[in-house]
Amino acid sequence: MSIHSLAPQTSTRFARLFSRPSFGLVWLAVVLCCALWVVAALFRGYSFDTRILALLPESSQSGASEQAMSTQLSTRVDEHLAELAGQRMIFLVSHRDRRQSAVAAAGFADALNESQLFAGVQGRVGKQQTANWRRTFFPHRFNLLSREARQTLAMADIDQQHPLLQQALARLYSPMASAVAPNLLDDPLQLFFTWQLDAAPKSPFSAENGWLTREYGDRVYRLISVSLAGDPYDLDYQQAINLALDRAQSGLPAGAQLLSSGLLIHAAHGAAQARQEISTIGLGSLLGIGLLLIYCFRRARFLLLAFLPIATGWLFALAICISLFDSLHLVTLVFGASLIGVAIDYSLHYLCAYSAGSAAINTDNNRHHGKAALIRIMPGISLGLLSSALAYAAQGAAPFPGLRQMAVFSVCGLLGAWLTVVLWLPHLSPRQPRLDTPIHRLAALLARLLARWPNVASARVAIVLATLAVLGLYQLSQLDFNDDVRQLQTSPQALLQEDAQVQSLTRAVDPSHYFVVSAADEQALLEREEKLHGALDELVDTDQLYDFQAISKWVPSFATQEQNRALNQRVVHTREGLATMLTRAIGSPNLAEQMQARFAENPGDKLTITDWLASEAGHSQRFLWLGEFEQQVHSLVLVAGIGDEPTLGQLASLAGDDDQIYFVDKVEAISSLLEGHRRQLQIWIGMAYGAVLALLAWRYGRVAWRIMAAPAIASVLSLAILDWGGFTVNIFNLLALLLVLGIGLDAGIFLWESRLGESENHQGDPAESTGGEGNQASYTWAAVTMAAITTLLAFGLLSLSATPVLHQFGITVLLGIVGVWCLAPCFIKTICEDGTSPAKLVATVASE
Amino acid sequence: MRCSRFCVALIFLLSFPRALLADEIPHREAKTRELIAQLEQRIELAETIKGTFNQRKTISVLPEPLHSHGTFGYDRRTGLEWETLAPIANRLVFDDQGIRQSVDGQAVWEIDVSQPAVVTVTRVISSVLAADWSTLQDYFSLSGSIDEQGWQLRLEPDDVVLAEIVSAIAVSGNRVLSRMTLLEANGDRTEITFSVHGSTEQP
Repeated sequence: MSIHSLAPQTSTRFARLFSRPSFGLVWLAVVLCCALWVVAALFRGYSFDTRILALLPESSQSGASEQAMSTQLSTRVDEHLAELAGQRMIFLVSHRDRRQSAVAAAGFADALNESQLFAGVQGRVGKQQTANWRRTFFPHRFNLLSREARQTLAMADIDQQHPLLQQALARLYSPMASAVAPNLLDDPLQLFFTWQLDAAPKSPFSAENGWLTREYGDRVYRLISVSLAGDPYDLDYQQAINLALDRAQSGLPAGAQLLSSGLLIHAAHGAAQARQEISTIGLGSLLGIGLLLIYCFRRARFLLLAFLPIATGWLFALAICISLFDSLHLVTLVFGASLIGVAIDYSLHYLCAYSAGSAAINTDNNRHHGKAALIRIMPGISLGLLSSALAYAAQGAAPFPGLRQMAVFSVCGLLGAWLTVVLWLPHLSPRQPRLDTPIHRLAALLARLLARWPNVASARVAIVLATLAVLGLYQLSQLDFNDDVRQLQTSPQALLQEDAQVQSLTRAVDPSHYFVVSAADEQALLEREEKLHGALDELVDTDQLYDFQAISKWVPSFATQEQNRALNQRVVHTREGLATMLTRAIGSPNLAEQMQARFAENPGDKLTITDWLASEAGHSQRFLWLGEFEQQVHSLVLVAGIGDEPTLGQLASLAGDDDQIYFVDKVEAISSLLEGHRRQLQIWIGMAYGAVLALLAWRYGRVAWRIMAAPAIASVLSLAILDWGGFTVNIFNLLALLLVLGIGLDAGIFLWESRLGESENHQGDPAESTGGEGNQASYTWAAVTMAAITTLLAFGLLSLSATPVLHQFGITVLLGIVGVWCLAPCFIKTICEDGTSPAKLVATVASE
Repeated sequence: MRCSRFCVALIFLLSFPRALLADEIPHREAKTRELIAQLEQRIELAETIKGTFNQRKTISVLPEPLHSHGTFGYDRRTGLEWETLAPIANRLVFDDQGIRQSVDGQAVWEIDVSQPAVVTVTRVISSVLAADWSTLQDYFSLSGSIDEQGWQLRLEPDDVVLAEIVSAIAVSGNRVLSRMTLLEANGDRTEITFSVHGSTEQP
C-alpha cells in the first residue's frame, strides 16, 4: 500500500473494507488466541526477568576490565555473587550497656530462630568453631607460613638474633604467653599461630560474652547473621520475614538499637513501594482518565472504547514477545506498556471524530457515524501508526537486548491497538452520537483558543521559538549525562545509610569490587592467586586496603607448601636450628629433641582445596570457590575497605598483568554500560527522527518539518529544562523522549490531516463542512488535548514516583507532552480568527 | 529454652535500680554486689596507672618457670602498654584495635581484635588493672573477701571462648592491685606482681 494512495477515496475504500464484520471476527479470534497463549505460557511457568543485568548486551558485561571474561563465566560469577548476597542478612544489635546489648542480641536471635524462617541464625560464638579450625589445619602446620615468616626464614641468618626467634621469645615472656605456650612443642616458633592470624579474615568484631562484639562510640554492637531459607525476591517470603523482624525488633529492650542489612530488605522495600505506587499513582491516573472520558463523552461505553485498543494491543504484544523471547524482562513490560500509551490517541481520535460527526450532520439518521468517523481518521491513524512504529522499531536495531524487546513489544502493541480501532470500534459504537455532551463545548472552546494561537507565520513567534530552540540546543551542548548506576538505586536514603553503617562497622568485603581468577587446574589456580596475593598484601600493609579474602590464604599451592616445609626443616627444625636456640634461651635445651621428633613424625601431607572445602573451617568462606567451568577452575578474590580512587586503579592494574585474572568493578562496569547504551540510544533517536521525517516528506513533501518541529523542540526543551534545573539526565529520560516523539507525531499528523480534510471538504462535499464551532480541526485538537491529558495522567504522574527510573521517565514525559501540546498548533495553522479553516494558507503551503 | 529465658530475665532484672527489686536479687548476685561495692570504696576506678611488674610463667612442659620484668602503663582511653625489659626487650600495646608488638622499637607484628583467645586475656588484664569491675562482671563470676589487710578475688569465666583458655583468675591487693594469678585451662599458670608508682583517679 503506497502512502500516496491514501487519498480520501482510497482511505474510504480501505475503511469500508476493514469495517466488514468478518474482519472484526478474525481479529477477535486472534485476540482470543493471544489470551489463551499468554495464559498457557504463564501456566507453563514462563518467567519474567527482573535482573537489571539481563537487559544489557552480553559481550560487554565485564565492562572496565581490559580483557573480557567469557559471557558464561561472567554470568556465573554474577549469579554466584547475587546468590551470596541474596541469601544472607546481617543484623547489629547495640546498646550503651554491655550487658543489655547481650540481652538484646539473645532475645533478637531467639525470636529469629523461633520464626523458623531462616536456614540458620549465627549469633552466639561457641567452642566448636575454634576446635574445627584446628583439626583441619594443624596436621599441615609445617606447610603453612605467613608471608612475612616465609620471607624472614629465607633471608635472615640463623643465629640468636633471628627476628622470628626474638619475637617468639618476646611473646613467651609476655602476657600473651597463655595463647602460645600450650603449643610450645608442636609450634616452637609460633609460626602456625601467626599463620592462622594472617589467614583469618580481619574483622573489627571479637568474640566476647559469647557474641561477636564491637565497641564503637559509646555503644556495644553484637553481630548476628542469618542465612535465608527462601528466595529473597519471593513476595510471601519477604512479608513473612518482615513480620518476623518486626516482632523481633519490638521485643528489644529499651535503649537497644537495631541495624539491618541485606538484599531482602531492599527487595521487600522495592516491592512494597511498587505496590503502593501502583495503588496510588496507578489508581489515580486510571481514575483521572476515566473521569475525563466520562465527563467529555457522557457515556460509560466510551470508556471501554478508549481502553479496549490498549488492552488488546498489550495482549497481542505480550503474546508475540512470549513466543519470540525466552524470558521477558519486567522493564520491557513496563516501558513497552507505556509506549503503547500512544495508542490511546487512536481511540480518542476515533471518539472525537465520531462526536464531531454529530455536530456536522445531525439530520441524516441513516448514516453510521462510526464508519464515517473511521473514514475520516483512517489516514491520520495509519500514518501515526507507521511513523510511531518506525520510531520505536529503530530502537530494535540497537544491539542491546532490552531495547530490542521493547521495540518488538511496542510495535506489536501499536499494531494491535490500531487493528482494534479499525476493526472493532465502528461496530461497538452506537449508530448515533449524542449532541449534548461537553466534548462539543470543549471543541468549541479549543477552536476559539486555536484561532488566537501564536503561529510561526508571525515573525515574532518565529523568532521566539527559534531563540528557545537555540537556547535549548546550547544547554544540551553543555549537558552532562549522569550514567552512574547508583543514581538508579531504588531504595530510600535511610535504608542505604543503614546499609553503609553496617558495612562500615563490620568492614565486610565489598560486593561490587572483586577479582576472578581462572586456571587450568587447582594448582595453577593457587599459583596464579599467590602472585596476586603478594601485591594485595602490600596494599594492606600500606593501609590502602583493609583486607582481602582468597583461597590461597588458606591453601597455599603445592609448590609453596613444599618451600614452606623445606624452610621449616632447614631453618627451624635442624640440630642448630631456631627451635634449638629457643629451647636454650628458655633454659630447657632438652626439649629440642622432642620438637625435632614432632617435626619428623609429621607426614607433611599437602593441604588441598578439597580438604579445605570439606572442612568445617572452610565453610564460612566456601563462596570463594567458583568450581570447574568451561574446562577451567575459577575462584574469587574479594577485597574489603578499598582506600580511595587511586587504589581502585591499582587493583585494576594488578589484573592487567595476567589475562586470567579479571578485576571487576561492578559499579563502574554497569555505569559505563549504561553510558554506552545511552549513547547508542541518542544515535537511534536521531535516526528515528530521520526515518520519520523521510516518511512524512514522502507523503507531505516539504511541509513535513511542520509536523516534526513540535516533538523535536519539545524534546530539546524538556531535556534542557531538566539539565538547567539541576536534575540528572540519563538513558531513562531519552526513553521518555521516544514517547514524546510518538505523541507529538500523532498530534502533528492529525492536525495536518484534519486541515487537509477540511480544505478538501471545502472543495468537495460542501454538506460536510459547517465551519465555525463544529470545525473538524477543533475536534482533532480536542482529541490531541485529551490524548495529552491522558498521557500526562498515565505517565506524567510517574514523576511523583520515588523509584528513580520511573521518576526520570515521568518528569520527561510531563515536560515533553506539555511542550508538544503547546507547540504543535504553532506550526500548523488550522483555524483562522474568523473561525474558518485557512484554505489560503493550505494552498500556499501545498505549493511549497 | 526455659533456662536461657530465665537467664535473660535475670540479667534484665539486674539492670534495674537495686531498691526496686531488692528482694528478687539472688543471694550470690547480692553478695557479688556487696563485694564490688566494698571494693569500690577501697579502690577507685583508675584513669591512668603506671608501674612495674614481675611475671612468672609456668609452662607444663618446662621444668623451670620463665621470669620476666618490666614496666606497664594503663590509660583508660588509649589502652595498655606492656613493656618487658628483661630477659628480652619487647613492647606490646593493647587497645581497641587489637595488639601490636614491637621489638627494639620496631613494629614487628600485630593482630586485630577478631582473634578472641589473645585479645580477651589482655582485656581482662586491663580491666583488673583499672579495677573496672563492671566489665569484669560481664566475663566472670566474682567471689572473694575483703578485710583490713586487703582483698582477694576469684574470677571464674562465664564466657565459653574465654573458658577454653582461662580456668580462673585470682587477684589481690589493698589500695591498688598487687598480685594476679592466671590459671590456664591446660594447667599452665601466669603470676604477675605489680608495684604501682603512680595513678590518677577517674574524674
